[in-house]
Amino acid sequence: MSELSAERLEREARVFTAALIGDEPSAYVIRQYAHGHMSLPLAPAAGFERVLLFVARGGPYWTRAADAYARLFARRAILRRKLTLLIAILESTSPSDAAFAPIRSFPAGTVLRLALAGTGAVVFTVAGLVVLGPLHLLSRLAAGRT
Amino acid sequence: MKILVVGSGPSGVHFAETVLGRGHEVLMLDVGHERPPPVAPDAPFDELKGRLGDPAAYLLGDDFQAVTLPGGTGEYYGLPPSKEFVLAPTKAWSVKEWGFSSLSSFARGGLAEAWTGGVYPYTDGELADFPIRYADLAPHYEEVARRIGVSGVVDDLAPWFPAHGHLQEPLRLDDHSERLLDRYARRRAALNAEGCYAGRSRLAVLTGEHEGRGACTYLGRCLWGCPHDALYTPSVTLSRLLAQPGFRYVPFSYVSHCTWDASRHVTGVSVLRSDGTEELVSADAVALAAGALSSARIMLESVRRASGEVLVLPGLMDNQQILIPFVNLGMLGRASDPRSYQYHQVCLGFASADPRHYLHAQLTTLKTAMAHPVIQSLPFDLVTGTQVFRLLRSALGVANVNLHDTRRADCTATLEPQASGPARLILTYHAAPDDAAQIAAATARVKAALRHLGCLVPPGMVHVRPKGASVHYAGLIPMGTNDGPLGATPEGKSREVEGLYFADGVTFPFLPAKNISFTLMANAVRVAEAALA
Repeated sequence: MSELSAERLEREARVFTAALIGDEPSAYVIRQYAHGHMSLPLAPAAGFERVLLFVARGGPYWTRAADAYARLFARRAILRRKLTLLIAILESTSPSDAAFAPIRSFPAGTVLRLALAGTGAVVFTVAGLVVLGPLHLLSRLAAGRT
Repeated sequence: MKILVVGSGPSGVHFAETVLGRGHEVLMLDVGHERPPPVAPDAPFDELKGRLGDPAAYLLGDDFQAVTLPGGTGEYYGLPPSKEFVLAPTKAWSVKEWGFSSLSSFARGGLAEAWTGGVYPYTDGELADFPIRYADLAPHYEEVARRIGVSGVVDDLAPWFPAHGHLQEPLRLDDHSERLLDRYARRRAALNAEGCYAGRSRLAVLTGEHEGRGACTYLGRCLWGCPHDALYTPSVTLSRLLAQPGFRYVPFSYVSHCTWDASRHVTGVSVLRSDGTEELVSADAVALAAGALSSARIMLESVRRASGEVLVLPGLMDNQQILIPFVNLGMLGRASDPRSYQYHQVCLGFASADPRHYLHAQLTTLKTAMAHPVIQSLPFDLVTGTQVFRLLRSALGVANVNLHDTRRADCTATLEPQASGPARLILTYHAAPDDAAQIAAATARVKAALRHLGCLVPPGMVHVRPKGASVHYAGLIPMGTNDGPLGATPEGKSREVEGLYFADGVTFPFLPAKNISFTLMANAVRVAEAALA
């Protein structure tokens, strides 16, 4: 299946939207996500980029772990660019824009939620390191041989 | 008398309005990219996404050009697709730069079509290097305020924003800005002791009816372009001028150079048409108001055509800008109202021993700005980034800090002739020796003031914008000095050519740390009155 096939991009949009806002993307979001791939530098993925995408497509938790790893070691990875495009589309469209609205809470509640978010970030970063660290190393070694 | 005005930006339209008011004819030449009509003009921003058939095209662009991808510019909000006409290029314009990233506009209304409406007169201290005083500009500030409509108050910042008449009531404050000012009121003594003062921004935004324009209705769409022109832009004045009988506007006109006769009296300009042909347009007098870079290029090309000499103009200036994001702890967990004015409503002013070195910061509270540029810049995975952003969104703000600039010999503009077509403009900018120290000191002062106001500055997120990004350009043909091969009299008249006037910032011999547009307009009125006198 081609990286830019409609079927693959739709599947990506569904998995990544579930990861980002815990919801299904609308048909409009899926269409715009595919459209964005025609305009922005989101392909082709090679080497470790392909590994990152493969893992991220595995499900919402995998997406998050792969992204957490990429944030540390591959900040400009295609995966992060795809996710950023999807956030831009989701926040531009009703009703998914509600997922980016401010969360009202008592200050203490906000601090607690921030702490929870931080804990989640650590957990997924560790998961990303465990799963993707060795794969990243292997892909570097393989690239060195060729 | 027939006066030819080049450019329709803030300088051009106010020069033209003054000349027309004295009964003379004006021919305005301009490339003139047009602003697209507003979509759903009565829809508040929070309803817009549900009402537009293709909201992503409006907010992100047909080709997603407004999406900020990781590793991009570092900006927290950029030019939206609805304002792309402001920076749309034109074929004849070619520029090569070292140490400078300029932006040029060929739009009706010029770069100020995308301004944020800050209206800040220069003080006598800031005018120390000018051959004019505040008193010379004061009546023209008044006149411009009457023409465009300005809202604001006289408060602690009055010593740095001299008061003028025709001031409408200030805009309704958003909750975040109100809290910043409340906190300032409680910490005033400590802040003032450090030379920091806070107050309301003075803005070219209407809070009452003004010459057929309505007051701000708080749609929250300022970033995408005010659909009702409550936020003034020069195209408002241009529309008014087009209704006057003595005014003629010719778009699609790229002025290549000025022409003059053997006695060095201006005879007109040469206009480059899109098919590459040149057409001479005659006039009794010419006012260059194309913006500092374009006006300098026109003069360089004029001299090259007349004598074959390629001049080097020293003194290129630009306000260095620093973006300092902050989190207002007093706003944590609170609601954020998208139906409010979106640009800065609060300013910080920092006094200095040398009054020319006044430091200016505008505090923008982010309410309807796109979220993804901030989310992708946070040091987390994007899911965590989204959660953190939502928790902090109502508390987020950005201090946009402006630094002053001085004319220096190694910051230049010149031309590079091409084998065919117009010569290329070459810009070279070298930072001042104390540049890094100045940036560090300014950042430290603003951070300290924000701490007093109950705000945190997240580490690693201060963004120093590239030189040239402020679009406040000036200094290449200075008034009242002999420093450079081309110059102007204090009245903005060319030192070298009779009947030629400079109505824009190309003549400013110093660049204070403030938005330049209000002074550009007032100075253009002053130059026009002097020309007619």
